[in-house]
Amino acid sequence: MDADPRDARSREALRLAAALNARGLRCKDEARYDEGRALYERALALLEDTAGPHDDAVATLYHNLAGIAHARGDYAAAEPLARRGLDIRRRADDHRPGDVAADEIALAAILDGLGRYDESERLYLGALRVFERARRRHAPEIAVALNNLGALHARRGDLDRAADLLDRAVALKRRTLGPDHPDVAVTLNNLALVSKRRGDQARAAVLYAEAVAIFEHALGPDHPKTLTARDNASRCAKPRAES
Amino acid sequence: MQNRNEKEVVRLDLTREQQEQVKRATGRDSVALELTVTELEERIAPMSVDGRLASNHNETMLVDR
Repeated sequence: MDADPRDARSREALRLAAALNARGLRCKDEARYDEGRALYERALALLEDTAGPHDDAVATLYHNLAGIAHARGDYAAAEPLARRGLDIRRRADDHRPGDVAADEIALAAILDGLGRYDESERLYLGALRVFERARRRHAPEIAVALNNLGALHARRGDLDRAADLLDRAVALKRRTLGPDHPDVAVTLNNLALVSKRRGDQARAAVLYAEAVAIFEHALGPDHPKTLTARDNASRCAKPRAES
Repeated sequence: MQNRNEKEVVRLDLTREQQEQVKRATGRDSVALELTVTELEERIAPMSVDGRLASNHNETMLVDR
């Protein structure tokens, strides 16, 4: 007797969907968004047909499709996808709080992009409470939430609070991902902007330089994140030469 | 039929999410997996380490406008 309730066709579909999803994640990392979306959509069609529309893996694919739209800055398109994934996850019989919290953080980032800061902040704080119960296992998610919450406070103009959260995020990322990981550079970029707005141009320039160097090495000179960090850096006043 | 030498090593570069999964599961940093063809055939199962699909993170990156 087979212990797995899925029949052979469903298991094969899940295996193929997982391979397509893995390729989609790589495409997103490399900013090949159309290709990534097409891979996720193929996986989604496969699973909705075999596993049904309420499967945990279907929720993840909606989460990832929303991620593509978020990366493009198309927050209006991202929101319904993220909400659909979250709704499926919450209804799933075997859902895990950590997975729901990860969906909530992803949705919060989209709402932040739409300027709905209060709603976004509530989701970040709720997800952080869940992750703090298993801090070590969820360190990457905690770091993302701290980064995003810091960026949210920067947009609101609460620069001291933003700097504190971003400092914590970058320390956690360096510890868990290593100092040269591009996710570290995302937070360094944010910290640089906050430093600039607080009037510390010298620190901003140093942080931007580090972020650009990491992005160029990890993602290449033409990746959108490299270009954004470089453009941000160019708006930072150059330190005056000693006379 | 086997097209590749069983001892040939295949290098699998990990996405950032996969690197994080490996880190969480083993505590070790890794940017790639290297397996022989035989090992690869034994381990083909394109799922996350806990049997679920891997998901991405939506990180906010501020833009100075």
